Amino acid sequence: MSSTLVHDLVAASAARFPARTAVVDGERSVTYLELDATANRLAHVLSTHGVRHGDRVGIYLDKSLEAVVGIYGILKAGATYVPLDPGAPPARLGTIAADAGLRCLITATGKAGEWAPLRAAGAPLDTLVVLDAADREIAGPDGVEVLTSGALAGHPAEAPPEAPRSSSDLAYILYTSGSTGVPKGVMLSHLNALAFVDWAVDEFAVTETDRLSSHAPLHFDLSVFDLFAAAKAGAAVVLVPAQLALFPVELARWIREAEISVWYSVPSILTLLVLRGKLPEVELPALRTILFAGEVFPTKHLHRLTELLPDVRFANLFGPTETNVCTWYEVPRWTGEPPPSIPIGKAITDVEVVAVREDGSIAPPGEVGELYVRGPTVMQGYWGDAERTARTLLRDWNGEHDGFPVYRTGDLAYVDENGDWIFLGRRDSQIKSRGYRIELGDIEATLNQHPGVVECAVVAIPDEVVTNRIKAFVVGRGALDDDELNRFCSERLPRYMAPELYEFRADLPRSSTGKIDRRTLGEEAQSAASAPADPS
Amino acid sequence: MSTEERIKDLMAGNLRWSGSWSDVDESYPLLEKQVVDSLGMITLISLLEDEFDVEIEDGDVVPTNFRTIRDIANLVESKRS
Repeated sequence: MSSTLVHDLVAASAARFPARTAVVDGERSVTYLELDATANRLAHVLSTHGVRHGDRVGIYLDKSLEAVVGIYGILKAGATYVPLDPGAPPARLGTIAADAGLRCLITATGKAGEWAPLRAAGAPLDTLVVLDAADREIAGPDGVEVLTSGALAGHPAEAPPEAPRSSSDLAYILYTSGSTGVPKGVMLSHLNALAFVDWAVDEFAVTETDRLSSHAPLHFDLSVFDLFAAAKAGAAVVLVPAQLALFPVELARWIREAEISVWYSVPSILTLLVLRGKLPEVELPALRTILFAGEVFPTKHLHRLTELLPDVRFANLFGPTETNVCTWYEVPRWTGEPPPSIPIGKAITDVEVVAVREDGSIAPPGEVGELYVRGPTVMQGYWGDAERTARTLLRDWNGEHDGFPVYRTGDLAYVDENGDWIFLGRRDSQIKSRGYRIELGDIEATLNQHPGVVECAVVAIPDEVVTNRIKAFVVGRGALDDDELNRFCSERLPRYMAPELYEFRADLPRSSTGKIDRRTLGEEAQSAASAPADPS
Repeated sequence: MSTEERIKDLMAGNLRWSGSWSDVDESYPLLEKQVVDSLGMITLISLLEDEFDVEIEDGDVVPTNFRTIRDIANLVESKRS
C-alpha cells in the first residue's frame, strides 16, 4: 500500500526492516527503528513547544544525521520543513526565515555563532533545538529558548497522535534564487514528493539492499530522492562527507568503500571524477546506477564515464524545483563519437509535458515552445507570493479539470522524432552554475545595493566543467574594487552566486531601447575569457 | 617572497571566501574553515601550476596536501625538485 505522507515511509521501513541501516554519517549510523523512534521523540518535543500543524520549521545545520532526524521530526509533528543553506550568509537566510515565518529551527552547535545574526537579519526565532548538544547548557540569543537533544529523552518513541492529515499538506518549502533579489519559496506537498519518489523507486528498482549516496545539500530537491527513495525502499542513505567534493581521488575511493549502489548528483562533480578521480584505477563493483540532474552534462565527459563504468546504468533527470523531475532520459551506450548533447527525454509516469507557443497554442512535434508541465509532482505555489504563483501556475489550462495545475517552466524545448524532449534554453536570465539555479538579476540587485555601485550587469560565461562562470561589469563611484565587492557579496549572497570576475567600466553599452546591452557584454566576457594568457 | 607567501597571495587574489585573509597564516586550517570550495580547488590547482611551473597530478589532490598553506608549499616544492 502506498503511503500518503512522507514520514510514513520511515515508519513503514521501521516495521519491515527495523535493524537495517537507515542513515550513515561518517562513522555514525542509525537503523530504521532508531531513526523512527528518535524522529518521533523530536516530534513530541516540537509539539510541546508550540509547533502546530502547518507551521514551518527551519533546518539550519550542516548535512548530518541530526539534520535527517530533524526533517522527519518536523514532518511527524505535522509541520513543514524549510532547509536553509548552511553556507549562506545570515543576511540572506534572515530574509528567507522572515518570509517563511520560521520561529523554530533545528540546528547544531556549529551554527551557534550565526543564531543571533540570523535573528538580527529578520528571522522571528523563539525556539532552537540543538540536536548535537546532548545535555550541555547552551545560551541562545535573548528571548530564544534553546533545547538540546537531551530534551528528547523524556518523550515517547511512539508516533505522536496526528490531527487528520492530507497528502496535499506541505512537506517542505525550498527557496530558490529570485530575479528581483528576493528568494522564492517553492511549496511542495507530501503528494508532490511521493509521486516523484514512487516513480523513481520503481524505475530504478531501489530495494532495501541498496546504498544511496547523498551528495546534494538538503535545500536542493535532489535530496528528495536521496532521503525519501531510500526510506521507501528501506535502503541506506550514506551522506557524502562535504570535503570530498574537493578531492576527486578521495571521492572515488569513498564511493567504493561506502559501497554506494546508486549515485545522484549534479554533473559537475561527475566531470571532476572523470577528469581527476583516477577512475580506471578504482573499482566500483557495487555501483549500478548513476543519475544526474541540474545542469547539462558535456557528452564528451559523460561518454568517458560510461566507458569507465560499463556495468552502470546512466540517466539524465530533468525538471525545475517547481516540478521536481518531469522528464528523464536513459543514456545509451554510444559506440562512436557521442552526439553534442542529450535529450531531457520523456515525461515520467502520470506527468504530462507540452510545448506552448507565444500565442498560447500547443506547439506540434519539432517546433519550439515553452515547456508546460502538469501532474502530481507540480508544486503548490510560491509561499506568500500569490501574484507570482498566479503567473506561473495555471489552473483550468486548456479547458481540462483533472485536478493538477499546469506549471509554466520558462524553459524552451521541442520534442524530436523519437518522442524525446530537447532542452534549448531559458526565456529569461536564469542560469545554472554547478547545478545551482541562479537569477542574474538576483546578483545585480545585490550589487546595486552597494552605495558605490552606480549600475551593473552580470553575465554568464559558459564553462565546460561548471556550466557557467559569473562576471560582473560595474560602473562605480569612488574607490570601488574587487575586494570591496567580494566582501560585500560574501555578506549577502551564497558563495556560488558571488561573481568570480569584476570589470569596472565608465559606462555600460546600451541597446537602441536604452536598456543595458547584456548580450554584447556577454560576448565581450566570453572572448576575454578565452583569449590566450598575456605572456608578460 | 617565500613560497607560502606567494601561495597566500594567489589564494587571496583569486578565491572567494567570506572569512578574513588577515587571519590566514601558513598553518591556518583551510579545509576546516572551508577556505576552498570545489570550484576554488579547480582554480587553485591551475594557479599553482602556472605560478610555480609544476604539474600537479590527480593523486596529489588529497586532503593531506591542502590542509594548510604550508602543506601546499611542501607539495609545490616536492614537484619542483
